[in-house]
Amino acid sequence: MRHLLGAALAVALSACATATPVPTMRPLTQAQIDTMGPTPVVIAENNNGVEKSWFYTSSASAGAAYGLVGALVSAAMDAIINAGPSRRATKSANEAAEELTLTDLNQSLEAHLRREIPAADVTVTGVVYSDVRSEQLLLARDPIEDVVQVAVRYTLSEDASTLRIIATASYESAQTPYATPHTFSGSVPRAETEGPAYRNNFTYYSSQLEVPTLTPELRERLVASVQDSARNDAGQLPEEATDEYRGMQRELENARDDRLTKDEIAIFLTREWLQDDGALLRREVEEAHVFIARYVALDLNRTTVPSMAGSDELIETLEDQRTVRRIGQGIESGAYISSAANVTSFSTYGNVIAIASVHSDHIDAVRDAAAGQRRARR
Amino acid sequence: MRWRHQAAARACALAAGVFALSACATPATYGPLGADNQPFGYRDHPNADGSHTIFIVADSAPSAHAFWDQRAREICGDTAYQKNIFRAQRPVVSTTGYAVNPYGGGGSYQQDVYGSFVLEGYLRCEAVVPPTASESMPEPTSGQNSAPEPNPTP
Repeated sequence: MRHLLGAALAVALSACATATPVPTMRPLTQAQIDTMGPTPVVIAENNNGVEKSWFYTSSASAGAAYGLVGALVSAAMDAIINAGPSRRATKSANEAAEELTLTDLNQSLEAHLRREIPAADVTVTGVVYSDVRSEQLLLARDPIEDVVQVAVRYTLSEDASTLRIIATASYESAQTPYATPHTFSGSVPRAETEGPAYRNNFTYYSSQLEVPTLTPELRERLVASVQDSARNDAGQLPEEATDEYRGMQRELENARDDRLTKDEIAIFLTREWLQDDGALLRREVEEAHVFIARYVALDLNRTTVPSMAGSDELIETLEDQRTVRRIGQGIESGAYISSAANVTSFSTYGNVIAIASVHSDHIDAVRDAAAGQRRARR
Repeated sequence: MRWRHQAAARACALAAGVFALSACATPATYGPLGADNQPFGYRDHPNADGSHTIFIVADSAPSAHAFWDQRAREICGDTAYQKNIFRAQRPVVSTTGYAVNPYGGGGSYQQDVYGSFVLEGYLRCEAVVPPTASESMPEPTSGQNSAPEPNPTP
Protein backbone atom coordinates (compact mmCIF):
# COMPACT_ATOMS: atom_id res chain seq x y z
CA MET A 1 0.00 0.00 0.00
CA ARG A 2 2.88 2.32 0.93
CA HIS A 3 4.58 1.63 -2.41
CA LEU A 4 1.36 2.35 -4.27
CA LEU A 5 0.90 5.61 -2.41
CA GLY A 6 4.52 6.55 -3.09
CA ALA A 7 4.15 5.83 -6.79
CA ALA A 8 0.91 7.82 -7.00
CA LEU A 9 2.59 10.75 -5.23
CA ALA A 10 5.61 10.59 -7.57
CA VAL A 11 3.32 10.64 -10.63
CA ALA A 12 1.34 13.56 -9.21
CA LEU A 13 4.51 15.54 -8.45
CA SER A 14 6.08 14.78 -11.82
CA ALA A 15 3.07 16.42 -13.45
CA CYS A 16 4.05 19.65 -11.68
CA ALA A 17 7.69 19.51 -12.79
CA THR A 18 8.07 21.93 -15.69
CA ALA A 19 11.27 21.45 -17.66
CA THR A 20 13.57 24.46 -17.40
CA PRO A 21 13.48 26.17 -20.81
CA VAL A 22 16.81 26.70 -22.54
CA PRO A 23 17.63 28.54 -25.79
CA THR A 24 17.17 26.58 -29.01
CA MET A 25 20.58 27.74 -30.23
CA ARG A 26 23.42 25.31 -29.55
CA PRO A 27 26.96 26.67 -29.95
CA LEU A 28 29.95 24.50 -30.78
CA THR A 29 32.74 24.14 -28.23
CA GLN A 30 36.33 25.02 -29.13
CA ALA A 31 37.21 21.31 -29.09
CA GLN A 32 34.38 20.59 -31.55
CA ILE A 33 35.47 23.47 -33.79
CA ASP A 34 39.03 22.12 -33.84
CA THR A 35 37.77 18.62 -34.67
CA MET A 36 35.48 19.82 -37.46
CA GLY A 37 37.75 22.18 -39.42
CA PRO A 38 36.74 22.37 -43.10
CA THR A 39 33.24 20.84 -43.31
CA PRO A 40 30.89 20.29 -46.26
CA VAL A 41 27.51 22.05 -46.37
CA VAL A 42 24.35 20.23 -47.45
CA ILE A 43 21.35 22.33 -48.44
CA ALA A 44 18.03 20.67 -47.73
CA GLU A 45 16.33 21.32 -51.07
CA ASN A 46 13.43 23.69 -50.66
CA ASN A 47 10.09 22.13 -51.67
CA ASN A 48 7.55 24.80 -50.69
CA GLY A 49 8.89 27.71 -52.70
CA VAL A 50 7.61 31.11 -51.61
CA GLU A 51 4.83 30.37 -49.12
CA LYS A 52 1.92 32.74 -48.57
CA SER A 53 0.78 33.03 -44.97
CA TRP A 54 -2.88 33.59 -44.15
CA PHE A 55 -5.16 33.51 -41.13
CA TYR A 56 -7.52 30.56 -40.73
CA THR A 57 -10.53 31.97 -38.88
CA SER A 58 -12.08 29.50 -36.48
CA SER A 59 -15.61 29.71 -35.11
CA ALA A 60 -14.82 27.07 -32.49
CA SER A 61 -15.76 29.42 -29.65
CA ALA A 62 -19.30 29.80 -31.08
CA GLY A 63 -19.85 26.07 -31.55
CA ALA A 64 -18.07 24.74 -28.47
CA ALA A 65 -21.05 25.27 -26.19
CA TYR A 66 -23.32 23.00 -28.29
CA GLY A 67 -21.43 19.72 -28.32
CA LEU A 68 -21.18 17.60 -31.47
CA VAL A 69 -23.85 19.57 -33.35
CA GLY A 70 -22.04 22.83 -32.54
CA ALA A 71 -18.73 21.34 -33.70
CA LEU A 72 -20.27 20.23 -37.02
CA VAL A 73 -21.94 23.58 -37.59
CA SER A 74 -18.76 25.52 -36.78
CA ALA A 75 -16.72 23.23 -39.07
CA ALA A 76 -19.15 23.98 -41.91
CA MET A 77 -19.00 27.71 -41.11
CA ASP A 78 -15.18 27.61 -41.05
CA ALA A 79 -15.11 25.96 -44.47
CA ILE A 80 -17.27 28.74 -45.92
CA ILE A 81 -15.45 31.59 -44.14
CA ASN A 82 -11.98 30.36 -45.06
CA ALA A 83 -12.59 29.31 -48.66
CA GLY A 84 -11.91 32.78 -50.07
CA PRO A 85 -8.77 33.60 -48.07
CA SER A 86 -7.39 30.12 -48.74
CA ARG A 87 -7.96 30.44 -52.50
CA ARG A 88 -6.44 33.91 -52.60
CA ALA A 89 -3.35 32.79 -50.63
CA THR A 90 -2.83 29.84 -52.99
CA LYS A 91 -3.20 32.19 -55.95
CA SER A 92 -0.47 34.47 -54.55
CA ALA A 93 1.79 31.45 -54.02
CA ASN A 94 1.04 30.23 -57.56
CA GLU A 95 1.96 33.61 -59.02
CA ALA A 96 5.21 33.71 -57.04
CA ALA A 97 6.06 30.17 -58.20
CA GLU A 98 5.76 31.25 -61.83
CA GLU A 99 8.54 33.80 -61.33
CA LEU A 100 10.74 32.05 -58.81
CA THR A 101 11.08 28.29 -59.18
CA LEU A 102 12.43 25.84 -56.62
CA THR A 103 15.54 25.47 -58.76
CA ASP A 104 16.07 29.26 -58.68
CA LEU A 105 15.87 29.30 -54.89
CA ASN A 106 18.11 26.27 -54.33
CA GLN A 107 20.73 27.33 -56.88
CA SER A 108 20.93 30.87 -55.51
CA LEU A 109 21.52 29.62 -51.96
CA GLU A 110 24.10 27.13 -53.18
CA ALA A 111 25.97 29.84 -55.12
CA HIS A 112 26.12 32.18 -52.13
CA LEU A 113 27.30 29.45 -49.78
CA ARG A 114 30.00 28.49 -52.33
CA ARG A 115 31.29 32.05 -52.31
CA GLU A 116 32.12 31.63 -48.61
CA ILE A 117 34.46 28.67 -49.31
CA PRO A 118 37.98 29.97 -48.62
CA ALA A 119 40.45 30.00 -51.52
CA ALA A 120 42.77 26.99 -51.69
CA ASP A 121 45.90 29.05 -50.91
CA VAL A 122 44.48 30.65 -47.76
CA THR A 123 45.41 29.24 -44.37
CA VAL A 124 42.20 28.70 -42.44
CA THR A 125 41.42 28.05 -38.80
CA GLY A 126 38.19 26.89 -37.27
CA VAL A 127 35.15 25.70 -39.16
CA VAL A 128 34.97 26.69 -42.85
CA TYR A 129 32.86 25.43 -45.71
CA SER A 130 34.79 22.84 -47.72
CA ASP A 131 32.07 22.05 -50.28
CA VAL A 132 28.39 22.81 -50.91
CA ARG A 133 25.78 20.48 -52.34
CA SER A 134 21.97 20.17 -52.32
CA GLU A 135 20.03 17.07 -51.37
CA GLN A 136 16.36 16.16 -51.28
CA LEU A 137 15.72 15.60 -47.56
CA LEU A 138 11.93 15.77 -47.51
CA LEU A 139 11.62 12.17 -46.35
CA ALA A 140 15.02 11.82 -44.66
CA ARG A 141 14.61 10.28 -41.24
CA ASP A 142 18.10 10.80 -39.88
CA PRO A 143 20.43 13.79 -40.09
CA ILE A 144 23.44 13.50 -42.38
CA GLU A 145 26.61 12.88 -40.42
CA ASP A 146 29.44 15.42 -40.32
CA VAL A 147 27.93 18.09 -42.56
CA VAL A 148 26.52 21.54 -41.86
CA GLN A 149 22.89 21.16 -42.88
CA VAL A 150 21.01 24.30 -44.00
CA ALA A 151 17.25 24.48 -44.61
CA VAL A 152 15.43 27.66 -45.65
CA ARG A 153 11.78 28.80 -45.71
CA TYR A 154 10.43 31.77 -47.65
CA THR A 155 7.13 33.24 -46.41
CA LEU A 156 5.15 36.27 -47.53
CA SER A 157 3.29 38.06 -44.74
CA GLU A 158 -0.51 38.02 -44.74
CA ASP A 159 -0.74 41.30 -46.62
CA ALA A 160 2.34 40.35 -48.71
CA SER A 161 4.07 43.56 -47.63
CA THR A 162 7.07 41.66 -46.23
CA LEU A 163 9.00 38.54 -47.20
CA ARG A 164 10.38 36.58 -44.25
CA ILE A 165 13.21 34.15 -44.90
CA ILE A 166 14.25 31.79 -42.11
CA ALA A 167 17.31 29.52 -42.33
CA THR A 168 18.07 26.78 -39.86
CA ALA A 169 21.63 25.51 -39.69
CA SER A 170 22.69 22.42 -37.78
CA TYR A 171 25.62 20.06 -37.40
CA GLU A 172 25.57 16.53 -35.99
CA SER A 173 28.28 13.92 -35.76
CA ALA A 174 29.04 10.90 -33.61
CA GLN A 175 32.56 12.29 -33.20
CA THR A 176 31.34 15.52 -31.63
CA PRO A 177 28.29 14.63 -29.53
CA TYR A 178 26.23 17.37 -27.93
CA ALA A 179 26.87 18.02 -24.24
CA THR A 180 24.51 20.60 -22.79
CA PRO A 181 26.27 23.72 -21.50
CA HIS A 182 23.24 24.58 -19.34
CA THR A 183 22.81 23.61 -15.71
CA PHE A 184 19.59 22.12 -14.41
CA SER A 185 18.36 21.87 -10.85
CA GLY A 186 17.32 18.24 -11.29
CA SER A 187 18.16 15.72 -13.97
CA VAL A 188 19.02 16.91 -17.47
CA PRO A 189 15.91 16.84 -19.72
CA ARG A 190 16.07 14.19 -22.41
CA ALA A 191 15.95 16.78 -25.20
CA GLU A 192 19.24 18.18 -23.90
CA THR A 193 21.01 14.82 -24.02
CA GLU A 194 20.68 14.22 -27.76
CA GLY A 195 20.47 15.93 -31.12
CA PRO A 196 22.80 18.20 -33.06
CA ALA A 197 26.01 19.60 -31.59
CA TYR A 198 25.26 22.90 -33.32
CA ARG A 199 21.94 24.55 -34.18
CA ASN A 200 20.82 28.10 -34.86
CA ASN A 201 18.25 30.17 -36.77
CA PHE A 202 18.91 33.10 -39.12
CA THR A 203 15.94 35.28 -40.07
CA TYR A 204 15.86 37.91 -42.79
CA TYR A 205 12.98 40.39 -43.15
CA SER A 206 12.73 42.12 -46.51
CA SER A 207 12.13 45.82 -46.96
CA GLN A 208 8.44 46.54 -46.51
CA LEU A 209 6.21 47.41 -49.45
CA GLU A 210 3.86 50.33 -48.94
CA VAL A 211 0.38 49.12 -48.03
CA PRO A 212 -2.16 50.66 -50.46
CA THR A 213 -5.14 52.67 -49.26
CA LEU A 214 -8.64 52.00 -50.56
CA THR A 215 -9.66 54.23 -53.47
CA PRO A 216 -12.58 53.78 -55.92
CA GLU A 217 -10.08 52.74 -58.59
CA LEU A 218 -8.48 50.17 -56.28
CA ARG A 219 -11.93 48.82 -55.41
CA GLU A 220 -12.70 48.27 -59.08
CA ARG A 221 -9.39 46.49 -59.59
CA LEU A 222 -10.17 44.32 -56.59
CA VAL A 223 -13.59 43.39 -58.02
CA ALA A 224 -11.97 42.53 -61.35
CA SER A 225 -9.39 40.43 -59.56
CA VAL A 226 -12.08 38.46 -57.67
CA GLN A 227 -13.87 37.75 -60.95
CA ASP A 228 -10.60 36.71 -62.62
CA SER A 229 -9.90 34.28 -59.80
CA ALA A 230 -13.36 32.73 -60.15
CA ARG A 231 -13.08 32.08 -63.91
CA ASN A 232 -12.60 28.51 -65.04
CA ASP A 233 -9.97 27.34 -67.53
CA ALA A 234 -12.24 28.44 -70.40
CA GLY A 235 -12.39 31.96 -68.92
CA GLN A 236 -16.07 31.72 -67.93
CA LEU A 237 -17.55 32.91 -64.65
CA PRO A 238 -19.30 30.26 -62.50
CA GLU A 239 -22.94 29.53 -63.24
CA GLU A 240 -25.66 30.80 -60.93
CA ALA A 241 -26.84 28.54 -58.09
CA THR A 242 -23.47 26.80 -57.86
CA ASP A 243 -21.25 26.92 -54.76
CA GLU A 244 -18.55 28.64 -56.80
CA TYR A 245 -21.02 31.36 -57.80
CA ARG A 246 -22.13 31.91 -54.21
CA GLY A 247 -18.48 32.04 -53.10
CA MET A 248 -17.71 34.60 -55.78
CA GLN A 249 -20.71 36.72 -54.78
CA ARG A 250 -19.58 36.71 -51.15
CA GLU A 251 -16.07 37.78 -52.14
CA LEU A 252 -17.48 40.49 -54.39
CA GLU A 253 -19.54 41.84 -51.49
CA ASN A 254 -16.38 41.96 -49.38
CA ALA A 255 -14.45 43.61 -52.18
CA ARG A 256 -17.07 46.34 -52.56
CA ASP A 257 -17.18 47.22 -48.86
CA ASP A 258 -15.13 50.01 -47.28
CA ARG A 259 -12.56 47.72 -45.71
CA LEU A 260 -9.36 46.48 -47.27
CA THR A 261 -8.49 43.16 -45.64
CA LYS A 262 -4.98 41.75 -45.45
CA ASP A 263 -5.61 39.15 -48.14
CA GLU A 264 -7.17 41.79 -50.40
CA ILE A 265 -4.05 43.94 -49.95
CA ALA A 266 -1.95 40.88 -50.76
CA ILE A 267 -3.55 40.63 -54.22
CA PHE A 268 -1.94 43.94 -55.17
CA LEU A 269 1.33 43.63 -53.29
CA THR A 270 2.05 40.14 -54.66
CA ARG A 271 1.97 41.69 -58.11
CA GLU A 272 4.44 44.38 -57.00
CA TRP A 273 6.84 41.65 -55.91
CA LEU A 274 6.50 39.98 -59.29
CA GLN A 275 6.89 43.01 -61.58
CA ASP A 276 9.83 42.92 -64.02
CA ASP A 277 10.15 39.12 -63.89
CA GLY A 278 10.07 39.15 -60.10
CA ALA A 279 13.04 41.53 -59.81
CA LEU A 280 12.12 42.72 -56.31
CA LEU A 281 11.52 39.20 -55.03
CA ARG A 282 14.79 37.96 -56.54
CA ARG A 283 16.75 40.86 -55.06
CA GLU A 284 15.48 40.21 -51.52
CA VAL A 285 16.08 36.45 -51.84
CA GLU A 286 19.66 37.13 -53.00
CA GLU A 287 20.25 39.53 -50.10
CA ALA A 288 18.88 36.98 -47.66
CA HIS A 289 21.16 34.28 -49.05
CA VAL A 290 24.19 36.57 -48.66
CA PHE A 291 23.21 37.13 -45.01
CA ILE A 292 22.65 33.42 -44.37
CA ALA A 293 25.88 32.24 -46.05
CA ARG A 294 27.98 34.77 -44.17
CA TYR A 295 26.46 34.54 -40.71
CA VAL A 296 26.21 30.75 -40.57
CA ALA A 297 29.98 30.59 -41.27
CA LEU A 298 30.68 33.15 -38.54
CA ASP A 299 28.35 31.63 -35.99
CA LEU A 300 29.83 28.14 -36.40
CA ASN A 301 33.02 29.57 -34.87
CA ARG A 302 31.35 31.36 -31.99
CA THR A 303 31.44 29.46 -28.70
CA THR A 304 29.40 31.82 -26.50
CA VAL A 305 26.55 30.01 -24.78
CA PRO A 306 23.25 31.87 -25.22
CA SER A 307 21.50 33.04 -22.08
CA MET A 308 17.79 33.15 -21.32
CA ALA A 309 18.10 36.57 -19.68
CA GLY A 310 20.46 38.83 -21.61
CA SER A 311 19.96 41.70 -24.04
CA ASP A 312 19.83 41.80 -27.82
CA GLU A 313 23.10 42.75 -29.46
CA LEU A 314 23.30 45.11 -32.44
CA ILE A 315 25.95 43.55 -34.66
CA GLU A 316 25.90 45.43 -37.93
CA THR A 317 24.24 48.45 -39.51
CA LEU A 318 24.34 48.57 -43.30
CA GLU A 319 24.35 51.60 -45.62
CA ASP A 320 20.57 51.51 -45.99
CA GLN A 321 20.16 51.31 -42.18
CA ARG A 322 19.29 47.61 -42.32
CA THR A 323 20.48 46.08 -39.06
CA VAL A 324 21.63 42.65 -37.98
CA ARG A 325 21.10 41.78 -34.35
CA ARG A 326 21.60 38.74 -32.16
CA ILE A 327 18.74 37.89 -29.84
CA GLY A 328 19.82 38.00 -26.21
CA GLN A 329 16.98 36.49 -24.25
CA GLY A 330 14.33 33.78 -24.25
CA ILE A 331 14.40 30.53 -26.18
CA GLU A 332 15.39 32.40 -29.36
CA SER A 333 18.54 33.70 -27.66
CA GLY A 334 21.58 33.46 -29.93
CA ALA A 335 19.52 33.62 -33.16
CA TYR A 336 20.37 36.25 -35.79
CA ILE A 337 17.83 38.64 -37.30
CA SER A 338 18.41 40.93 -40.25
CA SER A 339 15.73 43.64 -40.34
CA ALA A 340 14.97 46.38 -42.82
CA ALA A 341 14.95 49.96 -41.55
CA ASN A 342 11.99 52.23 -40.92
CA VAL A 343 9.25 49.64 -40.92
CA THR A 344 5.82 51.27 -40.95
CA SER A 345 2.94 48.78 -40.96
CA PHE A 346 2.44 45.89 -38.54
CA SER A 347 3.17 42.55 -40.24
CA THR A 348 1.35 39.35 -39.41
CA TYR A 349 2.21 35.84 -40.55
CA GLY A 350 -1.15 34.17 -39.85
CA ASN A 351 -1.52 30.63 -38.55
CA VAL A 352 -1.34 28.64 -41.81
CA ILE A 353 0.54 28.83 -45.09
CA ALA A 354 -0.46 28.21 -48.68
CA ILE A 355 1.98 26.75 -51.15
CA ALA A 356 1.78 26.83 -54.93
CA SER A 357 -0.08 24.00 -56.67
CA VAL A 358 3.02 23.20 -58.71
CA HIS A 359 5.00 22.72 -55.48
CA SER A 360 2.28 20.53 -53.95
CA ASP A 361 2.50 18.34 -57.06
CA HIS A 362 6.29 18.27 -56.73
CA ILE A 363 6.05 17.14 -53.07
CA ASP A 364 3.57 14.41 -54.08
CA ALA A 365 5.97 13.28 -56.81
CA VAL A 366 8.88 13.09 -54.34
CA ARG A 367 6.74 11.04 -51.94
CA ASP A 368 5.50 8.73 -54.72
CA ALA A 369 9.05 8.17 -55.96
CA ALA A 370 10.21 7.26 -52.46
CA ALA A 371 7.25 4.89 -52.00
CA GLY A 372 8.08 3.31 -55.37
CA GLN A 373 11.69 2.77 -54.32
CA ARG A 374 10.57 1.16 -51.06
CA ARG A 375 8.25 -1.19 -52.96
CA ALA A 376 11.04 -2.09 -55.40
CA ARG A 377 13.38 -2.99 -52.54
CA ARG A 378 10.86 -5.47 -51.05
CA MET B 1 -42.23 29.12 -16.23
CA ARG B 2 -39.85 27.35 -18.55
CA TRP B 3 -39.62 30.51 -20.63
CA ARG B 4 -38.54 32.46 -17.51
CA HIS B 5 -35.80 29.92 -16.77
CA GLN B 6 -34.52 30.20 -20.31
CA ALA B 7 -34.58 33.99 -20.21
CA ALA B 8 -32.71 33.99 -16.90
CA ALA B 9 -30.13 31.55 -18.27
CA ARG B 10 -29.66 33.74 -21.34
CA ALA B 11 -29.25 36.84 -19.17
CA CYS B 12 -26.68 35.02 -17.02
CA ALA B 13 -24.76 33.86 -20.08
CA LEU B 14 -24.80 37.39 -21.47
CA ALA B 15 -23.65 38.85 -18.17
CA ALA B 16 -20.88 36.25 -17.93
CA GLY B 17 -19.81 37.06 -21.48
CA VAL B 18 -19.75 40.81 -20.83
CA PHE B 19 -17.81 40.24 -17.61
CA ALA B 20 -15.29 37.99 -19.37
CA LEU B 21 -14.81 40.49 -22.18
CA SER B 22 -14.39 43.41 -19.78
CA ALA B 23 -11.64 41.45 -18.03
CA CYS B 24 -9.81 41.04 -21.35
CA ALA B 25 -9.97 44.73 -22.19
CA THR B 26 -7.11 45.96 -20.03
CA PRO B 27 -6.48 49.59 -20.94
CA ALA B 28 -2.91 50.12 -22.13
CA THR B 29 -1.12 52.32 -19.63
CA TYR B 30 2.41 53.56 -20.19
CA GLY B 31 5.08 52.06 -17.95
CA PRO B 32 7.90 49.54 -17.83
CA LEU B 33 6.91 46.07 -19.03
CA GLY B 34 6.54 43.48 -16.29
CA ALA B 35 6.29 45.98 -13.42
CA ASP B 36 3.10 45.23 -11.44
CA ASN B 37 2.26 42.60 -14.06
CA GLN B 38 1.97 45.36 -16.65
CA PRO B 39 1.14 43.59 -19.95
CA PHE B 40 1.72 46.71 -22.07
CA GLY B 41 4.56 49.20 -21.95
CA TYR B 42 8.24 49.49 -22.78
CA ARG B 43 11.60 47.84 -22.22
CA ASP B 44 14.89 49.29 -23.40
CA HIS B 45 18.63 48.82 -23.22
CA PRO B 46 21.71 50.70 -24.46
CA ASN B 47 23.73 49.32 -27.40
CA ALA B 48 27.50 49.20 -27.86
CA ASP B 49 27.39 51.93 -30.52
CA GLY B 50 25.71 54.44 -28.19
CA SER B 51 22.18 53.91 -29.47
CA HIS B 52 19.31 52.43 -27.46
CA THR B 53 16.87 49.70 -28.38
CA ILE B 54 13.28 50.40 -27.32
CA PHE B 55 10.81 47.51 -27.27
CA ILE B 56 7.08 48.22 -26.95
CA VAL B 57 4.03 46.01 -26.42
CA ALA B 58 0.68 47.80 -26.83
CA ASP B 59 -2.99 47.14 -27.51
CA SER B 60 -3.15 49.18 -30.73
CA ALA B 61 -0.85 50.49 -33.44
CA PRO B 62 -1.23 54.17 -32.44
CA SER B 63 -0.55 53.32 -28.77
CA ALA B 64 2.58 51.38 -29.76
CA HIS B 65 3.97 54.36 -31.68
CA ALA B 66 2.96 56.82 -28.94
CA PHE B 67 4.68 54.67 -26.27
CA TRP B 68 7.83 54.41 -28.40
CA ASP B 69 8.04 58.18 -28.89
CA GLN B 70 7.31 58.85 -25.22
CA ARG B 71 10.12 56.54 -24.11
CA ALA B 72 12.45 58.12 -26.69
CA ARG B 73 11.73 61.57 -25.26
CA GLU B 74 12.39 60.30 -21.74
CA ILE B 75 15.77 58.88 -22.77
CA CYS B 76 16.94 61.76 -24.96
CA GLY B 77 15.45 64.61 -22.94
CA ASP B 78 15.69 67.87 -24.84
CA THR B 79 18.05 66.40 -27.43
CA ALA B 80 16.65 65.61 -30.86
CA TYR B 81 16.67 61.95 -31.81
CA GLN B 82 16.69 59.65 -34.81
CA LYS B 83 14.64 56.50 -34.84
CA ASN B 84 14.85 53.33 -36.86
CA ILE B 85 11.85 51.08 -36.30
CA PHE B 86 12.98 47.65 -37.45
CA ARG B 87 10.17 45.52 -36.12
CA ALA B 88 6.41 46.06 -36.19
CA GLN B 89 4.57 42.81 -35.78
CA ARG B 90 1.39 41.28 -34.42
CA PRO B 91 2.02 37.67 -33.53
CA VAL B 92 -0.78 35.13 -33.61
CA VAL B 93 -1.44 33.53 -30.23
CA SER B 94 -3.51 30.51 -29.24
CA THR B 95 -6.21 31.04 -26.66
CA THR B 96 -8.39 28.59 -24.81
CA GLY B 97 -11.78 29.28 -23.34
CA TYR B 98 -15.02 27.81 -22.14
CA ALA B 99 -18.29 28.67 -23.88
CA VAL B 100 -21.65 28.29 -22.12
CA ASN B 101 -25.04 27.76 -23.71
CA PRO B 102 -28.39 29.03 -22.37
CA TYR B 103 -29.32 25.52 -21.22
CA GLY B 104 -26.57 25.27 -18.59
CA GLY B 105 -24.16 23.24 -20.70
CA GLY B 106 -20.94 24.25 -22.37
CA GLY B 107 -17.63 23.17 -23.78
CA SER B 108 -14.01 24.24 -23.99
CA TYR B 109 -12.38 25.45 -27.17
CA GLN B 110 -9.03 26.58 -28.53
CA GLN B 111 -8.56 29.15 -31.23
CA ASP B 112 -5.93 31.47 -32.67
CA VAL B 113 -6.26 35.22 -32.35
CA TYR B 114 -4.04 38.18 -33.18
CA GLY B 115 -1.95 39.15 -30.17
CA SER B 116 -0.62 42.50 -28.99
CA PHE B 117 1.17 45.05 -31.16
CA VAL B 118 4.93 44.70 -30.86
CA LEU B 119 7.13 47.60 -31.93
CA GLU B 120 10.91 47.69 -31.66
CA GLY B 121 13.46 50.18 -32.89
CA TYR B 122 16.80 51.85 -32.40
CA LEU B 123 16.99 55.29 -30.86
CA ARG B 124 19.92 57.64 -31.34
CA CYS B 125 19.91 60.84 -29.32
CA GLU B 126 21.70 63.54 -31.21
CA ALA B 127 21.19 67.12 -32.22
CA VAL B 128 20.27 67.32 -35.86
CA VAL B 129 22.31 70.00 -37.61
CA PRO B 130 19.91 72.34 -39.41
CA PRO B 131 20.59 72.74 -43.14
CA THR B 132 22.64 75.78 -44.11
CA ALA B 133 21.33 78.30 -46.61
CA SER B 134 23.36 76.74 -49.45
CA GLU B 135 21.91 73.27 -48.85
CA SER B 136 18.50 72.50 -50.17
CA MET B 137 18.47 69.00 -48.66
CA PRO B 138 20.27 67.77 -45.53
CA GLU B 139 23.16 65.37 -46.09
CA PRO B 140 22.43 61.80 -45.11
CA THR B 141 23.75 61.11 -41.65
CA SER B 142 26.86 58.99 -41.72
CA GLY B 143 28.63 57.11 -38.98
CA GLN B 144 25.97 54.43 -38.63
CA ASN B 145 28.28 51.72 -39.88
CA SER B 146 30.55 51.82 -36.88
CA ALA B 147 29.15 48.69 -35.29
CA PRO B 148 31.80 45.98 -35.25
CA GLU B 149 31.69 43.06 -37.61
CA PRO B 150 30.67 39.84 -35.89
CA ASN B 151 33.83 38.37 -34.45
CA PRO B 152 34.23 34.64 -34.59
CA THR B 153 35.64 33.47 -31.30
CA PRO B 154 39.07 32.04 -31.99
